[in-house]
Amino acid sequence: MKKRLAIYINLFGVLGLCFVLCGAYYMQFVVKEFPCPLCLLQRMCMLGVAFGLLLNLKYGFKTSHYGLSILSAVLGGAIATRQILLHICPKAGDTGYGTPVLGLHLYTWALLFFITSIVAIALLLLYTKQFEERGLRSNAQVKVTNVASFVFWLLFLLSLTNMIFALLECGFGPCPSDPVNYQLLHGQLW
Amino acid sequence: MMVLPFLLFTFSFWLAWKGRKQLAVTLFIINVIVMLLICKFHMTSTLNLQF
Repeated sequence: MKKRLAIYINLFGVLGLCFVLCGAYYMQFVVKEFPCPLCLLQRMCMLGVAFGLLLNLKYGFKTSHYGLSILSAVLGGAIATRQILLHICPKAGDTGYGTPVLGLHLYTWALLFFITSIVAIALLLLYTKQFEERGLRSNAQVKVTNVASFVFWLLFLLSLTNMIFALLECGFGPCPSDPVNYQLLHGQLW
Repeated sequence: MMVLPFLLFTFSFWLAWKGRKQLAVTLFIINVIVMLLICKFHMTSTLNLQF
């Protein structure tokens, strides 16, 4: 495997994460489902996974960068598991939180996503040539930097907009476990 | 409270892109601790299981 392939895997990983976070926005604004606190925590962990991959693209490949991604993926997996457990033996009428997508709830998809991330990063770590200092040829490096720059802005915007919508939904206090409106728009600061 | 981790992530991304890697990673680690505290608040209630 060439170093360039490792770069593309990282790039597509981050783009995939952006796609998933945009999908969450679709559920929030088109299907009109308010994200619960655990859902927001899972979004944060996805941003955390992307952070490590982005560091790889910006500063070169390091095991510590992958470590940050794994840390976030493990935390995200734990949060998703907890949400699955909340609905695993439901009382009558409890069909889980939100609308299922392709037969699974979003938190189940999130758990699968985090497990896949950990496995993919573990496989990437097996390829040790990516950690060698020798870089790409300059023109290839410029192309990678341009795409990485686009990906950075996408992630930055997703993080910023998530912050704004979390503020609108939860205000400055703890988030309600089953949100029904944007609290801040109804004058509730806490 | 839920805003804080997103705010820290936004700053982390910005600092990382502006070349302040050390500060960005420090902020990221602080963020993980903040997220763990939020998890303690939201994830430690008893599960309502019906067998």
